[in-house]
Amino acid sequence: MRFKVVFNYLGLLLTMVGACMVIPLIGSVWHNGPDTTAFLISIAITVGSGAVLWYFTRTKRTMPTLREALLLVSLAWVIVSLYSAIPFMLAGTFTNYIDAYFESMSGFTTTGSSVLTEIEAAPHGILIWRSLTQWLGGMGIVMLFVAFLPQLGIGAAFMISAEAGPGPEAVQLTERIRHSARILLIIYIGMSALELIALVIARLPFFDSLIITFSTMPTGGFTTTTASIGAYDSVAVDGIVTFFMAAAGINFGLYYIILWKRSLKAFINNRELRLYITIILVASIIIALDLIINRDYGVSSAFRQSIFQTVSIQTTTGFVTADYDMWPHLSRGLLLTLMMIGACAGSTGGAIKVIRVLIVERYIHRQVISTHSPRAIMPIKLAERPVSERWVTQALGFVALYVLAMIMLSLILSAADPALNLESAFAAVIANLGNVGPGLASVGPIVNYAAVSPFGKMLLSLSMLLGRLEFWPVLAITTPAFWKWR
Amino acid sequence: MYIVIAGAGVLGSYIAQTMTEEGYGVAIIEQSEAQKVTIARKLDVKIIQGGAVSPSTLEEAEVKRADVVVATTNSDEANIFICFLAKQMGAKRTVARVRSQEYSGYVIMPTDAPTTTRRVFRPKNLGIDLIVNPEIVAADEIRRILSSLYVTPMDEFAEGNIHLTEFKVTKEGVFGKPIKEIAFPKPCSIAAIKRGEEAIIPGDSDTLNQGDRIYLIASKDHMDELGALFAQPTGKAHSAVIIGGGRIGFSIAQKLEEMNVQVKIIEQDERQCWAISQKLKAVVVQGEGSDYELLKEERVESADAFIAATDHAELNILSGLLGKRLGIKHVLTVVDKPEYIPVAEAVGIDIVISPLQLSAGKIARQARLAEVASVSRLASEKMEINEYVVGENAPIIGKPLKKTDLPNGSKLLTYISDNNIRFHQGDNPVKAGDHVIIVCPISTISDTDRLFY
Repeated sequence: MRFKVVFNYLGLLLTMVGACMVIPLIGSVWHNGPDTTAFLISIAITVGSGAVLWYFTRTKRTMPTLREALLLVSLAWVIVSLYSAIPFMLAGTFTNYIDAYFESMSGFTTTGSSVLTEIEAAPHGILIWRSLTQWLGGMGIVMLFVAFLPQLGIGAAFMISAEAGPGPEAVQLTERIRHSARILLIIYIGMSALELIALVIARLPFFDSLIITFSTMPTGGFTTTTASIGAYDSVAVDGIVTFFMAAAGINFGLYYIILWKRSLKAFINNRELRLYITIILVASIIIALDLIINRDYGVSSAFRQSIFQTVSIQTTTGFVTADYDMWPHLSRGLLLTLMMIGACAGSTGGAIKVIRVLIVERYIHRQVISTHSPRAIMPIKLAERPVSERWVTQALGFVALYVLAMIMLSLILSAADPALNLESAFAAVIANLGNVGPGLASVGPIVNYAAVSPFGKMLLSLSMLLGRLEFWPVLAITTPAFWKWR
Repeated sequence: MYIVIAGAGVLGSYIAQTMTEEGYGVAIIEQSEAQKVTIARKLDVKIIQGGAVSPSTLEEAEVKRADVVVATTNSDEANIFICFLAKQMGAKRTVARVRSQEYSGYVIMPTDAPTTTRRVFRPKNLGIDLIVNPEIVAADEIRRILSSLYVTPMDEFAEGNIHLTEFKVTKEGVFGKPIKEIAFPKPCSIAAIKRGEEAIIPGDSDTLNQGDRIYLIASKDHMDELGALFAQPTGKAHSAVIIGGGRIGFSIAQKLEEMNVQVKIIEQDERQCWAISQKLKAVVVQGEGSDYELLKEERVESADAFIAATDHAELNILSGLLGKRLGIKHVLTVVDKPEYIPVAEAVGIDIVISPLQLSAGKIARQARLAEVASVSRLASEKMEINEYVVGENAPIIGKPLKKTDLPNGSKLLTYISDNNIRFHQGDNPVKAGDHVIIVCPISTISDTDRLFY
């Protein structure tokens, strides 16, 4: 392993993230906020350390190998979060570095779980930065980096697959990975711009529109108020946000096929997308009925709340318009399940992903059939195309690991944090592992994570990272074999 | 440029690798899952899994917008058919790897038509622009090397007027001298120096060492005189021993016999010996090519050239070393695993012939035909010499080459304007239609291309 190469790219990446802090700086200067100096110092520190790191490790530009890419990606997320916590500390938003780190990791992993108690009191620059971290993390910070950096060759593919996770719906849209990354970025920026315009037309102040856009497209969840989207109480805003959340939860590769290849066929035939829409519809209807029957909601408000909440949770965004923790147990349970399922592969959403659920379902079906017809040979198919057994095994392995990690982390959290009851501990881990944000009970939609112990916050930050990078790269670099054969 | 490669075997993936290094977009069609995974770990390309002999797979690979489709599956017939389909679907150019000599040329058939007496059927009729037969390509290269005065690989530019020749520096007079101090008797330019595994594009102050391989570019009439600066002329080969009478050894023997070279073939398989001895004038000996006693017994050392051309690279390297030990002047070794080539050169084999690299070079030439007049790959494919014809709207027009910044690492070799050949940067402004020959590392090719059209 050439650590020089890894740290050289980390240096460049850090410089880039530091440069992005100029955006909240502009916001802060514009609103004459108290956090201007905080951002100036943060930019100096971040860009400075990035540049120093880059300068002292510069070598002939070479492509990272697979191992270097794994280490690079895992380290990148941790280090970038460490640095992006600096403005929070300097502006006095948090007095505790663990809190600041939790908030910035929550941002970059697009989780949206907050430890900020008085969001309304935070200066404009800080709010912009908090949301911007999500927007940068949504597409993947390494992906952003790859799109701009030439000559990575196959190293780029290693880095992107380490970040986005391997899968049948790989990121390779075109014949060059860098070109593919740029296309995804164009789609991402384009949709963000559309949402911003739509929200401004819906008469939301520009600042709020910007913050919400930065949170919606990456399926993050940070807003400008504790009451989240519910604070605006506007059907138009709810509708726009719902639409863009749902859109962000769809595989971006499908948009590429529609826009560049001008074909709707792949979109309509996509089994994952069909299941995704089905889940949203069925869950919204059940929750709406549950609300009408058990909580005396009117039909229209029941559907408005249930659709918004279902989409928000399933896409792992975590925006809130109602305190769903007060809803009946069936609805709460359904929402918790959706947190585990998550959005489509290749989207900005997190958790297990619909396609894996689909593959596992087909696998179970095959096992059932083979119980009575042991010699039947049945390839698992999606839209008439067989899925390679490698991917099937990978999906099964991932789901198994996900469930295992969920249980282990929850048990550790409930052991370490007496303030959380079992339900809260489980919900907290599920919500952070899936990059959703709000959970249930003491970490529910109207409370936040401020009351969790420092150890619990570190554990949940780790869950966010594991969930965002889909375990494998982080686990890979912790094996002794990785270091022995480095 | 977009290139589709059907079949990711050794040749297919090798071409894909060099093409991606040059910065082109490549899609690979590959049937086997295992091979697909290997490629995905190695190359930044789009991979389509499936059999290439199917219109739906070709459609998925977007053959219709492909500039070149290269068919390198294991089957000749499949390759021919893939090219046919691809051409029908709109691919601009097609290349097929065809091993069988029966398919490689054209077929003449009698016809009933009243106006003509015979009908010629060519690969073009099937939509194939180029047929590559790696064995024939290698045999041609060996023939060319053995027929030159210095017994060394060469290439041609500017319609054959400019030659590029590889010399191994063996004359003491130039050791340790900077290039600018060498008194060249005729105008010329050194395109590259290969030292061990490293290859550089030299500047004026770089020096030459013993054992370096240099690539010299000069007018074809001056080459023999210039070569005398660096190496001893050896004269053309009149007799040759070929180890291995398989497909490649047989092709070489055929080509050499056309040049009236006396050939002796040592082939292990007795049946193969019978088969080839019926088609050749050569003496065919049954035996192992790595059998030192046999080589001595057959008086192999009295031959001018020794060519190790079995199907096994390892065996060829070993036989080549035995040939050297016997004191044969020219030892040529066929090595088809690209990673072995530097090893073979390091242990002292003079000339390594790689059918794979030669075929890939030929295919690359076909692929780049729209952009350059002539291409030559050198130094284990790390560099490329391109002959550009300056296009009508090229950004370089009107500027003298002296004042132009070439992309990093590249070097101007020859500038031809109005039949005036110069081996230095001219002061005259460049015009459309001028020829410029440039050497550059393959990673900067697309930048260089942009200057000239």
